[in-house]
Amino acid sequence: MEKFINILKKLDRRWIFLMIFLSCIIPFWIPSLFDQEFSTTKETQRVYDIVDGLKENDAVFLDWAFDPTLQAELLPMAEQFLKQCFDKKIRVFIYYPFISAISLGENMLESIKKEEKYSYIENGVDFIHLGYLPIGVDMMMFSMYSDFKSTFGKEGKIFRGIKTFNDIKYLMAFAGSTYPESYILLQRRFGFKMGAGVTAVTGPDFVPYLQTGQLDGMLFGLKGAAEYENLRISKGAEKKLNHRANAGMASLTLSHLVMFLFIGLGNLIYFYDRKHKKN
Amino acid sequence: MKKELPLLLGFFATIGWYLEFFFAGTFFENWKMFFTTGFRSVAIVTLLVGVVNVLKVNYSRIKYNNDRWFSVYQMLIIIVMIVFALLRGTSPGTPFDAMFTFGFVPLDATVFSLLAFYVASASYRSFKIKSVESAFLLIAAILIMLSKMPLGEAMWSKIPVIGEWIMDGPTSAGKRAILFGAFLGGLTMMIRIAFGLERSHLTE
Amino acid sequence: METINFILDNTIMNTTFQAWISVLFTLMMLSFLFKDNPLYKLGENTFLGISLGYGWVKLWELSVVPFLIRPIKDAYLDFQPYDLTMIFWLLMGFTMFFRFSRTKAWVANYYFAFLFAYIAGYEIPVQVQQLFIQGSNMMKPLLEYPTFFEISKWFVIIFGTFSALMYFFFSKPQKGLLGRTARIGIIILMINFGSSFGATVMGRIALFIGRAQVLAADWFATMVLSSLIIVFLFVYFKFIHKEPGLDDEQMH
Repeated sequence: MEKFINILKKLDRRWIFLMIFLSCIIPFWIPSLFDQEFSTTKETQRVYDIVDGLKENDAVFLDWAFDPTLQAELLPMAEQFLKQCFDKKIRVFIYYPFISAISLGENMLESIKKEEKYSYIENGVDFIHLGYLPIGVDMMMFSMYSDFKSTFGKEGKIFRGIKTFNDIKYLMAFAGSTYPESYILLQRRFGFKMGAGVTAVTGPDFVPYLQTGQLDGMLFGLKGAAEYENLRISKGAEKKLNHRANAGMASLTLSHLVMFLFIGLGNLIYFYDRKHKKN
Repeated sequence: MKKELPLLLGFFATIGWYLEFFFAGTFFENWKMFFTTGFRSVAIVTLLVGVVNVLKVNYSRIKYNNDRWFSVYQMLIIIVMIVFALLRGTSPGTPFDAMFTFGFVPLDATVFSLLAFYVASASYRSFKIKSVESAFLLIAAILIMLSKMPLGEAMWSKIPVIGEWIMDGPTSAGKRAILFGAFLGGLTMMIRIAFGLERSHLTE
Repeated sequence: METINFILDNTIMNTTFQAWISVLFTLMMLSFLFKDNPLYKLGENTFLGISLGYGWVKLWELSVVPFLIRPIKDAYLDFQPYDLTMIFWLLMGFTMFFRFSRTKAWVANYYFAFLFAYIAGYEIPVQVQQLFIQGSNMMKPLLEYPTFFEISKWFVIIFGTFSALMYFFFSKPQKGLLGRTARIGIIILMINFGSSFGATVMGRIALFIGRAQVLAADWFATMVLSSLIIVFLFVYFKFIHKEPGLDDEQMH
């Protein structure tokens, strides 16, 4: 036992790195490993229901507040959200508060367009990239509530019937920071309906806002994205094309088991040492 | 003139923005548009200041530093990006976009994902049950992790319910207490700025 | 021109090249986990170069042209009285350059006074409103949903928030009733930090899973390039870079 504990104490951290690396990558080659079913949380269901309840030609506003650093968690959510909107023939306004998010969004739309089902969608008619503004959300909101179109300096058929932000039915903010809070601060004042797709890191910060109803629907981390995918698949979407987040679930499980193992070993060392010091 | 006049103007502008919350009308519509378009123009001008700054930093690094070849390389990549944009534009399917998708995306995403390894190593070293409080911390963390992965639900169907209870109950209570503190702190700060007690944003 | 097009189409626009380069960049950055090395530095500077070049081009395209050059052009062609406000704000913007000067830095004060006045005036009512919303939301009827799950949550939310606030706000010695409340507050905060920590671990690992997906999909490139990188690191640390690094001692 003593020997084992000593090996553990002197364990180079690079061995831990290697274990985490392998536990993340191996399940992609053995997909049947840890292939479990899971239920849908009520926040995810809420987002799906709200979009599902919108009518044809309604408009939603998507705030794409993540750059490639967080694409693993948030890109699958954004993809599913966009596809669900296009299924219902809803117009989508996409705004990028960070410069490095723009090409990510443009490429996502291009890859959605390549699917046969969505080959008809067109920039400026079914969706529009509103680009980047060097001002904060609050000022942008004020401007959008005065005149929606002139805020962004863009033209297109998609703007028909949209005078101010009041004509937007749902706001969805995808972000990996507390950025959506700047919308939440204004939610009661203007009375718009909003949801958020957040990374697991910031997820707990938004729970109080879910309870007050300022936030209506939330997608939480990689599992939220996978739940959303499953909801769409259960309503007839093709599994092969909507599998981005579900593909990572087995890796998530195995890597966390490795994490639990290391946390357990760390505690074993601690308790062994404490017992020995007492003797 | 140097500080007093800006503070006085700032005080009146604060009052204007404060009243804007309660009243509507053409005056406040124009007031909002005046400031939002104005701040937008100023922000663009300040971005030019940033460009000048990057060039200055790289120039001094090339001139005096040992790592000069990395700076030269960095400037070269910037020039390549600008040339690509001039050659074929910036829409998807152009070299400019390919540099972003196959150069920037893997680099950016990987740098950030290195944190995963350090979190794992840190929890092995320091995530130990040293007291009752830390036991609560560890148990909450493990239950949340279990409830947010498929295996937890496969092990016991009640795990997601427990996870939801922890999120909605103690976590939201703690978060809300922190929020109260943050709101009160923010409020004090804003009032100090409005009355000119806080002047760190102004220079002599 | 044709040569340039030929080179572009066969390097950066070639799909095989694209797949290999993204795997290579991923592995280059991951090599930092072993030790700081020139491959990581190269990747870092590529990253900075691309992000700056990309940012400048996009800013020009999306901000400077539509919101600075176009309005100035319009005002020049057809002057309207409201264009005066734009001139006023541009002058305000150029006061920012005075910040570089030591004696004239105060000129920029006017702009900062307006900016902070906006932040303060806009935030004061909003923060008060948020306080009321969060406070009133706690006071929900107890028996709205009469299940054990909901009722226990009700108690935890009300008394948990209260005791955590007790722990935060009272700087007098925490003894007696106050001490016991504050202790519950600590436990509530600990559970809060624990769930935040658990969520953080999940989020960070999910980010790497995104990268692992790319590596696993292109397993041939991953195998070839990772063995090359391992050989490079071995040669570099064995023969070229002999002085012991500072972080060697921190490794265990």
